[in-house]
Amino acid sequence: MFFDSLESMLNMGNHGKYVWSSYGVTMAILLWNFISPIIVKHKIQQKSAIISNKTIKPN
Amino acid sequence: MNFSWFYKLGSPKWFYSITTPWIKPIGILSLALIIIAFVWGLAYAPADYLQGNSYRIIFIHVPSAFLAESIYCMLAFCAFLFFIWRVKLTDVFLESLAPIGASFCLLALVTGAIWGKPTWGTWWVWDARLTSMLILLFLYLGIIAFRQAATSRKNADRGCAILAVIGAINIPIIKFSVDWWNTLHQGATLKITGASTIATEMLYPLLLSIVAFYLFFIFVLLLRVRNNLLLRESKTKWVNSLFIPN
Repeated sequence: MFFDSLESMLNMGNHGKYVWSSYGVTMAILLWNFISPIIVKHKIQQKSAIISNKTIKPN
Repeated sequence: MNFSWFYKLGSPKWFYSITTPWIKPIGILSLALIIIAFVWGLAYAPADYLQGNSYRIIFIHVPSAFLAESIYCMLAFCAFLFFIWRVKLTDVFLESLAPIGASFCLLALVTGAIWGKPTWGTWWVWDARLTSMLILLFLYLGIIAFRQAATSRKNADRGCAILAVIGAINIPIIKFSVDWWNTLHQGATLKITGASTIATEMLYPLLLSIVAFYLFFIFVLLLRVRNNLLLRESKTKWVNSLFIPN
C-alpha cells in the first residue's frame, strides 16, 4: 500500500478534498445510472401486474 | 446472399431473451472490477512526481471521457443504421444511449474541473478540449430535450437521429483538439500505436478502470434498452406473457 496510515490516505498530501470529492461524484453518477432503470423496471412490473390482474378475473 | 440473420439482430423479442441471462453476470463483474480498479488506483498506485496524489483522479476522468465520446459514436452509428436499414432496435438504442452518455460527459467535465484546480490553478479554461467536451454535453442534452418535447415517438426517433448524426462532427474535434490548437489540456497519455507516456504502475490500474467503466456501461445500457423495449412493445403478446402471474 502506498499510504502508511488511513489519515495520510484521506489527506493525500493536501489533495484529499479534490480526490475524494471526485470519487464521491463518480459514485453518485454510477449509482444514478444503476438505480434509475431499476426504478423504471419496477414501475413497468407494477403496471403490468395491475393490467394482468384486471384481464384475468375469476368467474 | 441471405441477410435474415442481420434482421434477426433487430428483433426486440430475440434481443430481450438473448440478454436476459447476461445481465447479472455483467453487472457483478463490472462492480468487482470497479472496486478493484478504485482500490488499486487510490491506495496502491504511486504518487506522481509533479502532481502528487491529485493525479489519482485520472482513474475516473479518463474512462468517463472515453465513454462520453464512445457513446456518442454509438449514437451516431445507430442513427446511421436507423436511416439506412431501418433496423428496429436502433431507435431503442438511440433513446437509451443519450442519458448514459450525458452522465459520463458530465462526470468527465466535473472531475476534470476538480483536477484542474490543484494542477492548473483554475476550475475552468476555454481551451479547445474543454470547450468541445462542453459542446458534447450540450449535444447530449439537446437530444434528450428533443425526445421529451417531440409530439410522437416517430418524430422523436427521427429528430434525435438527425441530431446525433449532425453532432458527430464534434468527436474528431475533441480527439484532435490537443494537437490542432495550443491547449492547456495535455496531449494523449494512452496511445494505440507507440508507447504510452505513463508509468506502468499507473497504466495498469488505468486500463483496468477503463475496462470496468465500459463493462458497467454495457450493464446499464442493457437495463435501459430492455426497459424501453418493454414499454415500446407493451401491447405485444411476448411482453404480456412475461407478466402473466402463475
